[in-house]
Amino acid sequence: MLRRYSSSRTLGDNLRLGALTAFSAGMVNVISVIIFFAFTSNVTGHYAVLAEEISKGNWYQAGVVATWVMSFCFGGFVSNLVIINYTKKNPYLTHGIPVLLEIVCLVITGSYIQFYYQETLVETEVLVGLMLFAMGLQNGLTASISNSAVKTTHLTGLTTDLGMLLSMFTKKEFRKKKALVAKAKIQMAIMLSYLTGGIAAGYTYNTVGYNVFYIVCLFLLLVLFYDYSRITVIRFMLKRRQLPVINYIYSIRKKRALYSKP
Amino acid sequence: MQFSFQNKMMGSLRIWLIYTFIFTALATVVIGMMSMDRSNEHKLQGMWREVSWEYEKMDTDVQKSDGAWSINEKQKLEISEGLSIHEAETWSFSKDGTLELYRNNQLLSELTWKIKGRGHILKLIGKDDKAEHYQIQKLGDNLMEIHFNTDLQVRGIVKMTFVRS
Repeated sequence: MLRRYSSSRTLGDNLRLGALTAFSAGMVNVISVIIFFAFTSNVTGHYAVLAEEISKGNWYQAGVVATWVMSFCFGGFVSNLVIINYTKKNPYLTHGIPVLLEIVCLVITGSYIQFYYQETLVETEVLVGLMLFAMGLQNGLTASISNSAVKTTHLTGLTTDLGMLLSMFTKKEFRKKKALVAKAKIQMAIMLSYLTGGIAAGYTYNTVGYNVFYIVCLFLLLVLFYDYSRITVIRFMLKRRQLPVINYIYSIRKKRALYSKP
Repeated sequence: MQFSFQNKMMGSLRIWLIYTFIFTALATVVIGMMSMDRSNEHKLQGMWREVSWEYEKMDTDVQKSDGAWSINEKQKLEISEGLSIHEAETWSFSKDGTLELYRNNQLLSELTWKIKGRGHILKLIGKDDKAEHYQIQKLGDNLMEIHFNTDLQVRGIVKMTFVRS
C-alpha cells in the first residue's frame, strides 16, 4: 500500500490504500461534527463559509476558518515535502511518516478531549485545526504516492469524476478500457469506505465515546503494518533461500529441470 | 565547482526566504482579521432580552390571519415545550458558562452554555444533562439572532431575536 510509488502502484495497492484511509477520514469527519460541530475533511465547505464570514464582516470567525483551511494545506505541504525529499532512500519509511504524524495528531486530539477538554471555543478551534492538519497529511500522502489517483478526503471531485465515468460507461468503447474501469473501482471503493467510516463512527461514538479516536488510529496502524508485514515476509523468504539446505534442494531441482529438457 | 555550490545554496536560501515571507504575510493577515473582532464566546456574555419569535414555515391560513411570520404567545409555548428556554424572556450569559433564564425578573432556571464549531453553535445543557443546540445567525453588540429546528406543527426553522438589555 505504502511502499510503492507513482506508476509502479497496482490497482490492488490503490484500492487498499483508498479504502482504508477513506474509512478513517470518514470516521474523523463524523466525530468532529458530533463533538465540535465542524467538518474536518471537506474543505470546500470551509471556503464557502470563509467567503460568507468575510462578507458579513465577522472577522474573528473568518480568521478561524482561514486558519483551518491553511492547516489542511500545510498538512498536504508537509506530507509531500517528506515524500519528494526522502522517497528514494526508503519509500516505505518515508510514506509512513505522514501516517505516523496523523496518528500523533489524532492521539493528541483524542487524549486531550478525554482528559482536559473544557469545551471552550479556543480549544474547539485548535483541535479542529489539528484534525484538519491530520486530514491534509493523509490526503497529501495518498494523492502524492498514487499520482493523484487516490484522494481520500476530496469527495466533491471524486463524485464529479464518478458521475463522468458512469456516463462514459454507457458507451462500449469506454467500458473496455481497463484504466477507466480501474479508476471507477477506486472511486467507488473510496466513496463507500468514507460513507461506511462515517456511519461506523456515529455508532461507535455512542458506545465507546471519545475512545473512537483510538479506533481510527488502529485503522491507520493497519495501513502502516500491512506493508511492514509484507516486507518482513519477503525478507524472511529471501533469507530462507540463502540457507544451505534450501540452496541444496534448489540446486537439485535446477539440475533435474536441466536434465529433463529434451 | 565551488561556484555552483554557492549558487545552489543561494537558490535554496531564496526559496526559504520566499516561503517564510508568504507564511508570515498569511499569519499577519489572519491575526489582523481576528484582532479586529471578538469571538462569539465574548460577544455573547451579558443580558439579552427576547424581542421576537418567528418561523419560516407556516400553514397558509395562519399566515393570512396573522399577516406576518411572527408567533403568538400560545404558539411559542407550544413550540418551546420540552426546551429549557421554555417561557423565558431574558437570558443572562455569564463568563463562567452559566445561563440564567428570567421571566418578569424572576429566575426560572439555570443552565450551562457552550459555543461550538467556529463560534456558530450555541449549546445549552440542562440540569438533566440534556443538550439543546441553536445556530447563531447574527451576533452583534446589541442584536442577536439564533435559530433552532423544530419538528412540531410549524415544520421549520424558528428564528429568535434578542436585544442586549
